[in-house]
Amino acid sequence: MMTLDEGTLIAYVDGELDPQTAREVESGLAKDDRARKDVEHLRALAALTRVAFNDTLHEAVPQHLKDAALGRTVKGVTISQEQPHSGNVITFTSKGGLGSMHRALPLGLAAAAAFAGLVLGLGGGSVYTEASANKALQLAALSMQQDQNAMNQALNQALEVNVSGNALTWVNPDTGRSAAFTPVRTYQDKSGQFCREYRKDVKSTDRTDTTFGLACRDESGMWKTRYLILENGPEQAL
Amino acid sequence: MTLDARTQQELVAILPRLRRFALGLTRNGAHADDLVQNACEKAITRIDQWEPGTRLDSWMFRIIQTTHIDHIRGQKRRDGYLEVIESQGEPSFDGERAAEASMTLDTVRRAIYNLPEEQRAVVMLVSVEGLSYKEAAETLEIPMGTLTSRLVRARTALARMMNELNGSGGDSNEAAALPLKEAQLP
Repeated sequence: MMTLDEGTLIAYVDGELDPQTAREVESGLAKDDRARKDVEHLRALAALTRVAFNDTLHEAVPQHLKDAALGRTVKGVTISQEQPHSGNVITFTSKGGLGSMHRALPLGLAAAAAFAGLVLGLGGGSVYTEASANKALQLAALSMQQDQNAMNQALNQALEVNVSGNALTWVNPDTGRSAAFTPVRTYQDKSGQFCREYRKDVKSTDRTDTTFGLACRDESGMWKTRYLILENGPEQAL
Repeated sequence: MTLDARTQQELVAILPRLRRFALGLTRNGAHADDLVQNACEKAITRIDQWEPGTRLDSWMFRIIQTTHIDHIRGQKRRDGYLEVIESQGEPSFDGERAAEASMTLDTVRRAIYNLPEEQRAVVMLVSVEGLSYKEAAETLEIPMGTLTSRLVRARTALARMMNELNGSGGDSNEAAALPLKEAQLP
């Protein structure tokens, strides 16, 4: 008579034995209460294991993965969970790399200032003044800078208190500008520092800009943005 | 390099299973998706290495597994690697399940997450994906004997962990046996 060791029983439960061996196991099991009990447990475990990860099967597959399967992604750009983006990655490694960027923007002057403020305000706010050629632009930029400061505060608050997926909204009725800040995911790096991906939708009178960013919290409780991806941003910004 | 339309369709169709396998390996939804994306990008550049007519899913499982192992090795060298944590308020995938069933499945998942890396890969392929021993051994490029011994060790460990987790008075064991990350935001 064959020995009903664990390996044999497991292979039996998995249907991996040839018919002859399986019959031998069955006749052995008929005389062995303990082995029968083991098989029962192994079957229960196998059944549970089989479905343990099925929630993942029923979730919607994120669009960026479908894009990757179809060969449509830009390599290395994987920040949005919810939607695809033809995004441009800006890494805030140093201030120097950003100076030339706004020259390429094909926007109206005020919008250019707004855009430069929006992008550069996070990296080092002083750069945008280079774009100020006249008084009107300075005023527009000042108003933008005020909104920018308020939005930075709102973003900081959203990152500090909001659960991922919940938006914090901000509006300035005077300028007609509004924004929504939504933390998307939370990380912790090796040193224990918290970082969060977020989505920012800024709505002006004539346009909506969506950006995705990654911000990390410093010791003083300020969230510093490390990089941004501009959704539908001007191609020149690359 | 691009895939022909039929292979593309098949790849998209197996994405849910690829995500499931990747989740078992990485133990984290966001990492799993990054892993699947990397694997898809690799697969497209190496599609000439895939033999049409053989199983695309097994081939993708192998790419996912090797990418995962490479990543783990690289991770030890890299500085500032970001580890994803889930805050307690994050929506859970099984919110609609009966609490009891979900707890049991959650227990199984956590027990599997607690297995050593190479045993987890075997369990995911054989017990979750339903590959035969032969297919799983080929996918992981390991001998059958290695596969079956890993499988036996994994099942034994799982049964033990399940007993500990389900058994009465196992509450204090749970925290010790399963050091799950539950971080709160500052």
